[in-house]
Formats: sequence, structure tokens, C-alpha cells
Amino acid sequence: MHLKTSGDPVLILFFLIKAVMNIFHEIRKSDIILASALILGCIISLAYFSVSSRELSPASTVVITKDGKILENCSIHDDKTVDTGSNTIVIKGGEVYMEHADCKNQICVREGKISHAGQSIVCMPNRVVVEIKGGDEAYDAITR
Amino acid sequence: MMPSQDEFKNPGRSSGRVAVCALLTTLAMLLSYIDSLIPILPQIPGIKLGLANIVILTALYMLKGRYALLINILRIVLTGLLFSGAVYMLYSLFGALFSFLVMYILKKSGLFSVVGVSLAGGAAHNAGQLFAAILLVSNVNLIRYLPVLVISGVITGILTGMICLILLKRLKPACL
Ligand SMILES: [Zn+2]
Repeated sequence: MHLKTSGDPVLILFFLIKAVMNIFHEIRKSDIILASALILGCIISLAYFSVSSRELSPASTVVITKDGKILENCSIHDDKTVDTGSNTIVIKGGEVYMEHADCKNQICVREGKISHAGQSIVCMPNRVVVEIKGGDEAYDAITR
Repeated sequence: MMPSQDEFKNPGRSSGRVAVCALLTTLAMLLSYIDSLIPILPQIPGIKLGLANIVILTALYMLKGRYALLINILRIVLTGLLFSGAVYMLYSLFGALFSFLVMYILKKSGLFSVVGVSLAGGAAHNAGQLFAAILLVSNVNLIRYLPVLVISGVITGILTGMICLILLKRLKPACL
């Protein structure tokens, strides 16, 4: 009898829903307040970051750093290849990408091409950061 | 207080404790490995499901805090040596310790359920990792990733917290 009913998909669904309801019963008001406070804070700062990066949106310079030291600071329109020893970065046609990296996880290579100000590619194991900035050149072009 | 928990905390039964700690460490290592195989958002490094946190959280609730901490550190060091390498080990250790500190304090406060403790731990883990990365790479601009990382930590933390809630209910009568 018991075996028969436990195989019934409707009953299984019923017990599943009951189990989930039991979990929700245990969640306290303070948990919900904490979660919504964290998410709200994040959404506000996300909005702030997107507004502040839009202000300098025309991409102009590419900055490549290793261990915080600037290795390359050039225009995004200079077509060139930069080799940091561990990573090979290609700047071509207004786009930047990590062509090669000797790191284990290859996250930086998989990140693909970036072309907008504020975007960056990071190779964590090699501590290499590639950033696109919308700095002074873009500003000059507007005011001129 | 359950008699089974008191029995477990009795110093006379240290061999049983070693066995449980070893078991939980292995389980946490396995879950960390599975975690590394599942990319959620490959564009943003550091976003993980945090499955190993289920084990750490269960240990925090079922055992004394110092055992949970021991399991946590052993898990990071061993998976670091086996799979991910020294640099990653360093910054996941940073995230794990920060997350543990936050979870320990929130649990002690008694204000939150397991889900609340877990989601704060998830957010703290990702934030801690990011701060370690900022120090390592010496680039403050990485802070831009913080909101996305904290949101993903909260969401995965809620999921692992719910799993942990079910686990704790089932484990209590089973006398861990
Ligand atoms: Zn890399």
C-alpha cells in the first residue's frame, strides 16, 4: 500500500512542495531583511558604477598593468601586440583581447574582446590587468 | 541541547571526532572540486555555487566552531595543493576566513536562521576574495565587481542555506 502511493508522481510533488514549504517556514524576518538590504545596496552601487562609467564612455586609452606597475599606456586605435612575459594582449581595430596566457585557469583568455571604457580583463594568477579608459583624449575631442 | 551533541563534544571521544572531521573535510573537498567544474558566469571570475559551504555550515551548527574552522582551512589548503595552485589557494583562504568570521558572529548573535547566516557567509566569501584579489593585483578598479559578486553570494548562500536547513533537520535525530 505504502509502496504503491509513494510512486505516484502527484504524491511525490505534494511531498516536495511540503518540504519546500517547511523550509520557508523556518526562514525568519531578519533573514529576509538582511538579504534585501544587501541586494538593495548592490543594486544602488551597480547603478552608480554604470552611471559613472557612462560619463567617460568613448573608449580612448588602453592601460596594461602587472603587479600594479604600468607596462603599456596607449591609444585604443594603435594596433599592436603587448607581451608581458606571461600574457599576450592584442589591441586591434578598437578592440582588446587576451590572445595568450600561461595561467592555469585561462579565465582571462575566455573573457573575449572588450571595446568600451570601463571594461577590463584580469589575469588573477599572473596579476595582469588590462583596462580601457575613456580619459583625457576623449574629453579633449568633445571640448575642441 | 541534544544529548547526542553533548556526547559528541565530550573530550573522551576524540577518535570519533577525528573521524567525523576527516569525513567532513573530504566531503567539503569533493564539493569544492565539483564547484570548480560548474561555471555560472564565466565572464566574471570568482562566482561559484559555494557547495562546500553546506559542509562548513553544518559543521558550524553540529560541532564546535573550532572544528568547523579546522575543516574549512584543511579543505582550502588541500584543494589548493591538489587542483588550483598557490595563488588561488591564498585568495580563496582569504574569502573562506572572512566568510567564516561573519557566519560565526551571526550565528552567535542568534538573530538569524541558517539561511540568513549562509547568505551573509556567501556574500562575505565573495567580498573577501575580491579584496584579496585587489591586494594581489594592486588595482583598486576591481571594486566594480563587488556588487555583482555580493548579489551572487547572497543568491547562492540562500540556496546552500536551504539545503543545510534540510540537512540539519535530518541529522539531528541521526546523532552526528
Ligand atoms: Zn589568466
